[in-house]
Amino acid sequence: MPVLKHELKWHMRFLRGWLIAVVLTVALFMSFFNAFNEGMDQVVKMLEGFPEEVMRGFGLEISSFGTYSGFLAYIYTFVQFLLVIIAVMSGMMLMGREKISKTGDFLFSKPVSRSSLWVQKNTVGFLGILLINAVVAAIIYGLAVVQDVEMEIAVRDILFSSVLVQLIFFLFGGMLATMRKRLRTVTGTASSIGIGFYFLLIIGRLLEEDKLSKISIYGLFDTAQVQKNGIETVNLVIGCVLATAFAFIGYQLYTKMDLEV
Amino acid sequence: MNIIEVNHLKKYYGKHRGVEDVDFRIKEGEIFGFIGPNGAGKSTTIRCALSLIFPTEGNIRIFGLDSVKDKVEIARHVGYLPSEVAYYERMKVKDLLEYSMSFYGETSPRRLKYLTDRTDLDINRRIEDLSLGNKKKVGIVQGLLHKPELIILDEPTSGLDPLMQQRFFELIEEENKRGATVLFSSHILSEVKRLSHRIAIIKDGRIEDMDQIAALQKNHYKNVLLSADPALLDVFEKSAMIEVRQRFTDQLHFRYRGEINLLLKALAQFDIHNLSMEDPTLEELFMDYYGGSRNAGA
Repeated sequence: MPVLKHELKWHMRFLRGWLIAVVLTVALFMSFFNAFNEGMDQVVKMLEGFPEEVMRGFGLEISSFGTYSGFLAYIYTFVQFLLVIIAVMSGMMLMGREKISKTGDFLFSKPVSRSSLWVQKNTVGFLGILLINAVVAAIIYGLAVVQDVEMEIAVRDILFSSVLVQLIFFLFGGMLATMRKRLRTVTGTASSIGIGFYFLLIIGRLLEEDKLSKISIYGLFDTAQVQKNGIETVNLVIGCVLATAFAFIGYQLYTKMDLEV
Repeated sequence: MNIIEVNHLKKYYGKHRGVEDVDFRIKEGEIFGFIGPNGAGKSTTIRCALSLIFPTEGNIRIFGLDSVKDKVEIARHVGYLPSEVAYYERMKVKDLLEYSMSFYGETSPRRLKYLTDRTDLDINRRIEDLSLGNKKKVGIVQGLLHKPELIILDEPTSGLDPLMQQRFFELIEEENKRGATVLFSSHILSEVKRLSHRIAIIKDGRIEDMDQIAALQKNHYKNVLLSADPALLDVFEKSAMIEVRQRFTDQLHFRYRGEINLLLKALAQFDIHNLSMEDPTLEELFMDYYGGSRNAGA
C-alpha cells in the first residue's frame, strides 16, 4: 500500500496545524464551562435580552445552556464549522493532489488501479477525520472530568453526528476535486463551501425552514437539536444516502476521468 | 512478437480531436520513433496506451493485454517519461525514487546508483530546488529503475543539455540491447534518426507513413540537380513530372516522385552536363509531410 503510506504521511503534516487550532479552540471554550455555570443567572439574563432571531440563528437554547452538553452544542456549532472546512480541504487535497501538483502522469502510470488509489486516498481521509475527532473527544471528556461535571449521552451524540457531517463534506470535497479539470488551491473553495453551507443553516434557523437547514448538511445534525432530541433516524438515513451518493459519484468520476496534462 | 498493437485508435476530447485513426504495431526489441508536430496526436496516443486517458474508439494491446482492463499488469513492465515532468515538490529525490520503486515491490540500490551516476543526479536535493533539466533526470531514473520491458518516452530530451542528451541516448540504447522495446515521440528529427529502427509519421491524428527511415527516404521523392543547356532547361522545367525548387542559369534543382527510369528516359533527349540525385533528408521529409507540399509535383 505505498499510496496509503505516502498520503498518510503528507496528510498528517497538513492536519497537524489544523489539529492544534481545533484542540486549542475546544480546550479554551470548554474550560470556561464551570465559570459560565457559576454565573448562569447573569448569563441567562443576558441571553434573554437578545432578540429571538439572534438566539435562533446561533442555535442558543437557554434551557440547556447550563448543562455540559448544552454548552458543548453551542460551542460545537463553531467548532464543527472549522472541522467542516478541514474535511472539505482534506477531500479536495487528497483526491485532487495530482491535479494541484501535476503529478498525475507519475502516479497514474504506476502499477496500481484507480479503484485502489481511490480507496487508499479515502482511507487516509477517514483516518484523518477519526484522528481529529478522537483527540477532540478526549479533550471534551477530559475537561468534563477535570471540571467534575456530569457527562450526558448527548455529548456522545453531538460528537458522533459531527463525524458524520465531516464525512459527508469530506466526500463532497473529494467529488468536487475530481470533477474539476484543473485545481490550484483548495483553501478558498473549502472555506467558501464551509461558510456558504453554514449561512444556509443560519438562514434556515432564522426562517424556521427545516428543509433549508437540512440542505446545509450541518442542519441534518444541528448540534442544538441533537443535544435536545438525539440523532433523528430520518436525518441519519439522509446523511448516509448523501455520503453514499457523493462517494459513488466521486468514485465513478475518479476511475473514468481523462487525466489532463 | 508485437509488444504494442494500436488498433484504429480514436480519441476525442468533447468536440476536439485528439487522434482520428491511429493504427500501428511495435515489435519486441524495436526502438520506434513517433514523429509529428505539436497537436498531431503523439501524446494522446501515448497517454491512451498508459490508460491516463481513455480511447473513444479502438483499443491498444500491450504485451497482448488490453491497455484499459489490464492496466496494472501492463504498468509493472512499463517505464514512462512524460514530456512535462512534475513531482511532489517537497519531497527529496531519494524519497521520490523510493516511493516510485515501492510500486514495483523491489528495490535495487545498485541499479539506483548506476542510473543516478549515469545521469549525474543528486538524490539528496528537494524536487522544488531542481532545474527543469534535473527534474527530467529524475524522470529518466524513475522510469528506468525497475528495468522495464517497454520504455515509453514522450519528447524525452526537452530540457536536457546536449551532453545529457548524449548520455540519455546511450542509456536508451543500452536498455534496448538489454531487450527493452522503446516507443518514443519527438519532433526533434536528429534524435529520431539517431535512435529509431522504425518511425511513424503522424499528422492531424492519423498515421501518414511508417517504415524504416532509410526506406521512407528511398520511397519518397528524389532531390535532383540537373546541369544542362539553359534553353533545354527552359523546356524541361515546364514538365509536369517534376517539382521545381530552384532555377539557376544552367542548373535546375527539382524534386522527382516516381519511376527513376521514366525520368532518365525523359532526360535522355537532352544534352546533359551533369546530374546528381539524392534521397531527401529526414528534415525535408518532415517538412514535406507537414508543409503541405506533398501532393505537388508528379
